[in-house]
Amino acid sequence: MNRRSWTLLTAAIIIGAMPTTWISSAYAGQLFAVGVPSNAGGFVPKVPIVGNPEVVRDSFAPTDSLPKKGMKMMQNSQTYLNRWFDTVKKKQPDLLWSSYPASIRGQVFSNTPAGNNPMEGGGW
Amino acid sequence: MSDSIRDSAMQTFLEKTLARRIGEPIEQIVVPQLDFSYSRDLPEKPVKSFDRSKPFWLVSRNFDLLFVCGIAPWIAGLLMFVVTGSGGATKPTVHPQQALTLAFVVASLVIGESHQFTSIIRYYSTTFRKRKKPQVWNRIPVWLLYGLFINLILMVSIPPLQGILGMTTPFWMIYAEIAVSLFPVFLLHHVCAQACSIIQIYCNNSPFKFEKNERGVLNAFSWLLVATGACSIAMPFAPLTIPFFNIFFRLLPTNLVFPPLYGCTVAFAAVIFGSILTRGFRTGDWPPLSATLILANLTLLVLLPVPVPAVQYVWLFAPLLFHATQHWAVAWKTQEREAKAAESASFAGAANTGAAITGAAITGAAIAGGANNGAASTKVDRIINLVVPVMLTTALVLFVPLLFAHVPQTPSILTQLFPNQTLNVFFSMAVFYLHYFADRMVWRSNQ
Repeated sequence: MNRRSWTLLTAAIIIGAMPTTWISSAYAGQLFAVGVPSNAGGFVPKVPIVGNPEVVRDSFAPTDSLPKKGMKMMQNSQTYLNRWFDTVKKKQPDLLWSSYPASIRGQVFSNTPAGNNPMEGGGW
Repeated sequence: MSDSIRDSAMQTFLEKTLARRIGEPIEQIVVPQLDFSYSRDLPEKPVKSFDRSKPFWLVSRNFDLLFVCGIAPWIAGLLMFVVTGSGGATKPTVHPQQALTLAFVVASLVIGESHQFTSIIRYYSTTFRKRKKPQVWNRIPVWLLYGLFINLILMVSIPPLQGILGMTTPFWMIYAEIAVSLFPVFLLHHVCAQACSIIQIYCNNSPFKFEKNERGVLNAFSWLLVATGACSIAMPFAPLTIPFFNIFFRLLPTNLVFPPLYGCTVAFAAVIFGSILTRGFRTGDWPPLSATLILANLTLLVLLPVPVPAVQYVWLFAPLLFHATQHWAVAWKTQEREAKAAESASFAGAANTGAAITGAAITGAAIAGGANNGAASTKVDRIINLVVPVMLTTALVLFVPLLFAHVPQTPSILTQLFPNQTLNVFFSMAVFYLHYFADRMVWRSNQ
């Protein structure tokens, strides 16, 4: 590696370490807080971290096992996936927008379903 | 004349000839071309300027087949279909599904969103600044984007200017509304245009050559796919406030327009693939498998979701593992090519200096140059010079609101503009458009 490469690598480690911590914790927090589809339609945002098997059972890809301790974020990521498929099945015209990476970030952080219309919702 | 004297004279003659030849540019050494095709009454072979030393794949054979040609989204989609219970046929898995989902969410940031910054960084780099062509027309949309955001910032930060700047508001409103409402259509056009460009890259790296009219047919097909997608999987956002667009898109009888449009696109696809087969069987001139795979995957991804909704499993991964990875592969290849070109240029300089000395010195320089060439284009160097800056910029731009949240006494204008945890939807669209416009300029080799 040449001198420029070493400088860049050092800068990356120093500058990148702190934002990476924030971003990881922010993503983890949002995946904790993602909602689940309710029986009455729509989504229940901010469900308790302990999964509700009765609610989850009605989703697109049900699971009857409670998450193990330490796997709660994973449980919510699964719920997020269920919600994505549920929404895209209903809103095929937004298929491309729903799978667009920036839209995925928006779905995770704003806790809104896929295909959210930015002209109506605004922001995330 | 004795043998030793004759050998000595021959050696002197060869040394003089070699010394004279070293000083000559390579183009001046004319190699006689012998063509016996007419004398043997054989058909004239088409002349193809194909450089066999040029590497065919962008990254490697396996990587390209999976992540550039579009096999990976189908594998990942099938995997997702199975782990989520095969559409209700079986009991869904728990941990594999959760792991795959988490990997997908993380990859959408690390691979998906970051790919936009490869072209954005290049747009502001020295390489693009030293371009031969001014590219004025291509840069106008970028300047308009700057104008829109300068206007927005001034309106928010300096209220007395609102009266004067308000006069230009209708113009900016129209520009912003077109950009936001037609966003899915531009997105699909970007996906199709990039795929078609990579098809041409593969064809240029192979003996198969596109004729000019064939390139036109490919472009026409790409636009037809965009039009079909705009009526099916990438419809413009609503509601629209500009009367013209409202009338055009809301009153457009999509139900009437879509079936014939879809039929035309399917027929066009059949004609293209039919002509490829016909040409291949008749002349043995087959396009590269990679190019055919990209065209087939692009066609299927746009046309198949309508009759087969299960393609949504594949679409979940298509922007990541078909489009974004294609872009990363092109950026990777460009970085490698430019590093080698820079090394070759420095080697040429060294060789010209060395030419005045001896042949042995030139050989030494060539060996040294080859070693340097290899060192400059190592994978580690490319990761550090390409991937690391792109990842840092991605994190910085997309999560700038998090930065403001952690920095005390952030000016209120910044918290007003960035109220969320991450870059909001409109700024994210601006990032896309910057990438979209930059992409049309920065990867051309004549830059």
